[in-house]
Amino acid sequence: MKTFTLLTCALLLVSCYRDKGNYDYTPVSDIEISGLEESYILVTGVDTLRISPLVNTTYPESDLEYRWVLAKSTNSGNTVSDKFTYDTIREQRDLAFPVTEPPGVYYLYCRVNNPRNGYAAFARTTLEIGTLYNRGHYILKETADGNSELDLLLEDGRLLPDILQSTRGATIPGAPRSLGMLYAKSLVDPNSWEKVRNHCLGVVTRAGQAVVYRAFDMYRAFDHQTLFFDEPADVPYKFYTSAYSCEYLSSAGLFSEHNASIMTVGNTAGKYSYPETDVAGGSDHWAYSVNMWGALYWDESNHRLVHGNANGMANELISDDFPMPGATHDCLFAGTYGPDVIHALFRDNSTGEYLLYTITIAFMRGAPAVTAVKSLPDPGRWANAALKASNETSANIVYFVHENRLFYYDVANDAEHAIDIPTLPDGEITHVAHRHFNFTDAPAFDYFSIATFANGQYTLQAYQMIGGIPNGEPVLVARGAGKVKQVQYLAPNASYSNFFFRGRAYSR
Amino acid sequence: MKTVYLLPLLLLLLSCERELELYRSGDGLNFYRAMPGDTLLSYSFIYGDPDASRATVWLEVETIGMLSALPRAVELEQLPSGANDAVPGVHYLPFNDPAVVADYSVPAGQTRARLPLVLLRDASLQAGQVTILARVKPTALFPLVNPERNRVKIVFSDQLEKPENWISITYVFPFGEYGPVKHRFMIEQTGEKWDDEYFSETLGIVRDAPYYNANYDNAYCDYLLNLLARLLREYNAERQAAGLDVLKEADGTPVSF
Repeated sequence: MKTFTLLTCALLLVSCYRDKGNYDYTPVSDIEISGLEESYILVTGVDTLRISPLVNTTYPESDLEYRWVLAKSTNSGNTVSDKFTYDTIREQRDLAFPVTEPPGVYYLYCRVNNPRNGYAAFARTTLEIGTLYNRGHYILKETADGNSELDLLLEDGRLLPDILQSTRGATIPGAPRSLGMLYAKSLVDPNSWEKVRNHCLGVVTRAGQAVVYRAFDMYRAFDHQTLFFDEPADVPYKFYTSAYSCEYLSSAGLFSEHNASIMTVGNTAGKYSYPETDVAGGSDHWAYSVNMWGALYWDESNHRLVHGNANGMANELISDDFPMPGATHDCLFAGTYGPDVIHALFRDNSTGEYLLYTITIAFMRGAPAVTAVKSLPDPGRWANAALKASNETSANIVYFVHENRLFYYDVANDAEHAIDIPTLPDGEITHVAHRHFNFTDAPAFDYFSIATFANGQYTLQAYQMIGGIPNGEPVLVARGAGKVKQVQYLAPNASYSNFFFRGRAYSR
Repeated sequence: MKTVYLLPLLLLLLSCERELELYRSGDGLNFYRAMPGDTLLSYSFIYGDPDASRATVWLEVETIGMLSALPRAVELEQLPSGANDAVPGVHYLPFNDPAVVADYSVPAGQTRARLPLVLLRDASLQAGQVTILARVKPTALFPLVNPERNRVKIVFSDQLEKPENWISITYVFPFGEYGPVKHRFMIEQTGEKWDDEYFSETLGIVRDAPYYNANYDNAYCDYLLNLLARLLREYNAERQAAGLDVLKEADGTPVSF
């Protein structure tokens, strides 16, 4: 009887496992979204983002729901972090979004959903929202009263004049000395008081001013007094971006945000500490090498060549094969050719001899080495020309201006040639340079840049080149008040925080 | 007979619906640790009022179990630490001293309490540090014992102590090996205490991974390192000009940065 009872109970339990499932499945259709660019660069308060996505599916349109969601990185500024806030901005298929967001990098998601079965698909793009100050050719110029000011030539040809006067209420005292783009410069955000990294401009003047502005809002992040933990006593020369850091070169030496003695963990407030080595000194004669991931420069106080590596560590350049310039030498020029060659021209004041040094960096992140020293029996016109600039990529030549005429010096053949630019306006030539930028995620250009000054006004023109020689009509023209000193291009892309970009080949 | 079989089954099913009793693990007490490494407290009279004869450090505890409507007394006891144990009444007020015993309790309705440990500035503290290894004593009110968290070590002296945040993680902490002479040099030259609070709140360096907090700025640490190195060079130059040796620790190791 006991067995019978258990068997009955077991049968009752077994009946509970009867499969009542429905295996009459219906295939679910896929939803494929396309038509979104990988990224969009937008100006807040100006642009409207319009996207009409292409949706490939067998569901009828009436069954689909659309949602556009904006994801804002919680790390303010130009970098994308892994923490976000999300905001639905549209629930229609076609997006027309007037951009009013604060400058920064955002993700935009397009979600297409079939509410009947809950199936959904996503597509994502990146929005780089900036202001008009985020992108373009910055023009450092001298004002009529001898101070420094910035104009901005936008991609569409518009010129934003006198930016410092209009945003800060004043120019910077002193004639302009240099302008450098500082990608992902550390600073303290004045609104959140958080340590952030933003793209900045570094302006140096002949009056000893060194000022750093955050590009997207022209916030004056640092001046010479606030740039250090200590009271400064140096002569500033140049800001520039190298592979790991935003560097500052002055008579006190090479300062780096990247501290070789401590791993760069966390964010810094952006002030400079001490030069990484005891090798002090610097000058305006400076050249960046892509292979070196750093710069080579002349120390005019101690009369020596110095190279700063990727870690911002400065060391004197020495050679077993060639006599190095020293106490009797003055540096007249330093310029880059290609990723691995730097030319430096010296005059030996004890003999009157002119010497052209070729410094080569044989491999990536390698140390520089003097590979040739050529005595120039006839220094020609170029050696003592006030304006000189290398062609940095396509021709081994140095542009120079002699008696307000444009020439180039053929380095390989030691020959000088005049360059005639029929479209060059009359006036004093105040600026020549090779300006180039070539990355897949930003408009590429490769220009010869020249500016003239007449009647208190400048005309800046940029030309395409053939073999390093300006050719044809100018492709960029800007006219404004003042005298052009330098032109530097700023691109806002967030990936420019990455050292793979920061150390690469673009004109500085 | 069928009813006889079904009835036990029904009874079994009904038993599943019986109301569960409230889970009670019992009452216990732990030392509260904001960070896993908070097992050691250090104190030096040298940072405080030079005329002070005693100082209070606070031991924070938290309860296990249910809240109580009444205050619950806490008892601590000292265990041998094996490292120059502090003497009750000489180096600190005993845990059962009438001056403090009333404060050794968890207030009604609370899970945490701060217990005062009164350190006495005995002259022997100038010669070296002493240790209290304190343990929560199991009582009728707090019978549970969690051996992982029911003890804390307090190390104190009347001389410079190595801060707990003086770590050997070189990629964060650039100031090198600890030494009392070096520590005093840093304090004298900068006017800062260079104690745990300074490391945590000003420099952003902490003892637990990732060893830095939001205050950390490697550029500032690098600046201080270079500043101290320069000041030491100048200090040693002055000493050597006066015919003295460079600054050294008691064991003869030269101070360096």
